[in-house]
Amino acid sequence: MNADDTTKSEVRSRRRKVVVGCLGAGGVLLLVILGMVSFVGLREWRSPSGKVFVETGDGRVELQTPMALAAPPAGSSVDLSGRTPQPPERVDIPRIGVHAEVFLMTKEAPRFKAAGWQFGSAMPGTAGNVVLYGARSGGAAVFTNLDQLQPGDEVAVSVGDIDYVYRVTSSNEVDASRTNLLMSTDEPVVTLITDAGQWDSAAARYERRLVIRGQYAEARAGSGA
Amino acid sequence: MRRRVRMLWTYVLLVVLVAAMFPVVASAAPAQRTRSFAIISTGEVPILNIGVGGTLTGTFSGSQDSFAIDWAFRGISSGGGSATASGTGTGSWNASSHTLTLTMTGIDSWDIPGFPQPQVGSASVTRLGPNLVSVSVGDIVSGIPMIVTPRFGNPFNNRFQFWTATAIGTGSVNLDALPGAQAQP
Repeated sequence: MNADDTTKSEVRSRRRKVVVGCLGAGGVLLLVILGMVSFVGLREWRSPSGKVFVETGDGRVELQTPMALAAPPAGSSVDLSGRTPQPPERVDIPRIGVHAEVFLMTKEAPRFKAAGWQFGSAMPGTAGNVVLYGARSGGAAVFTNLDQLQPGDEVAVSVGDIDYVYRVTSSNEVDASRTNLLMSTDEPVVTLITDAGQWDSAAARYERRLVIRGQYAEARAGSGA
Repeated sequence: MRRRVRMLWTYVLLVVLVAAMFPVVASAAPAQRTRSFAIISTGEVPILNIGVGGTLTGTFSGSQDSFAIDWAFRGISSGGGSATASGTGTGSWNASSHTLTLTMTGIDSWDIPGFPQPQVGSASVTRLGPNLVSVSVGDIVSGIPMIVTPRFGNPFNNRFQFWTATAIGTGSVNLDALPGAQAQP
C-alpha cells in the first residue's frame, strides 16, 4: 500500500464518520420531535385545551357555553333580535351597593376590586348558568354583604348597553366542594358566589361558600346605552 | 430571554385572539359588513407558566378581501391583576390557502402587566385543521400551533360570534371546588 492509497482510505473513513454522525444526529432530532408530538398529542387527548370540566363525585362533566340568547322575559324593554351573547362586563346589585366590573377567571379569582366570571359558564341572557365570584373581604372584596340579599332582589349583569336583570330566588351556605352549582342549567340563571366559613390553612381556601341564585327576569337598556 | 419570550407571546396572543373569530371556509361576495365578535383565551404558555387570560371583544367591518378591526381586551394577568388593552387593525382572508393575514395598525391603550406593548406589525394565521391553526408573526416566529373552537375559517361566512383560543398543550380547566379566595385576606 502506497501513500496515495493510505490518504484515500483516511478520506473515506472520515467521510463515513461524517455520514454516520449526521445520520445519528438526524435520528436523535427525529426522536425528539416525535417525542414532543407524542407528548402534546397525549396531553391533548387526556386534557383537551380550551375545555372546562367540573369534577363531581360521579366523574367530570364538560361545561357547555350556550351560543344564543334566550328569548327575553315578558316585560323586557329592549329588542334583542340580531344580538349575540357577549361576556359580562359589569354586575350591579342595588340593595347592597355592589357596582363592580367583571373579568374572566379560569381558576384564579381577581386580586383586585372586581368580580370574576367563571370560564366555561354561560354568558348573560343565554339559557345557562352565569357564574360570578366576588371576594368577601380584603382589598378585592366586592361581595361583602351578599348575605343581606333577599328573594326578589335585583342582580343586573351588563354587557355593553344592555342590562340582563336577574331576581334572587335562593341563598345558601354550602361546602366549597359543591361543584354541582357550577353546572350548566336549562334555565337562564345567575349564580353569585363568595367566601364563607373559616379559612382552611391546609387547603389554602375558605371551607364554605355563600351561594346566591337568581332567575332571569328582564332585559333592559343599561347605563352604557 | 424571558422578556423576549413574553414579547413574542404578546404578539401571538393578540394575533390568535383576533384570528379565532374566523370559522368555516367558503367564498363570499365582497359585500361590506360589520359584525361583532367575542373571543376567550386562557392565554397560557405551557412550561413557562406565563400568560394572560381574558376576553377580546370588538367588531370587524368590510369584506373578506379587506376588513378593519376594532378590538378591546380585558382579562387577568398571571399575577391576578387586571389586564386591559384596545386597538385597531386590518386584515384579509385568502380562501385558497386558508390563511388570514392581519396587520395591527394601532394600539389605543395597553395595560397588561408583564407584557410590554408590542410594535404594530403584520402576522398570519393558517388553518391546519378544523380547530388547529398555525400562527406566524413577521420574521420572528412561524408555526406556533393553537386550538380554536369553533372552527377556523372565513371571517365573513360563519354563524358564530364567540370563540375560545388556547395554546396547544395548555390542557383543560378542571374545577374541583367552587371559586374562592386563593389567599387569606
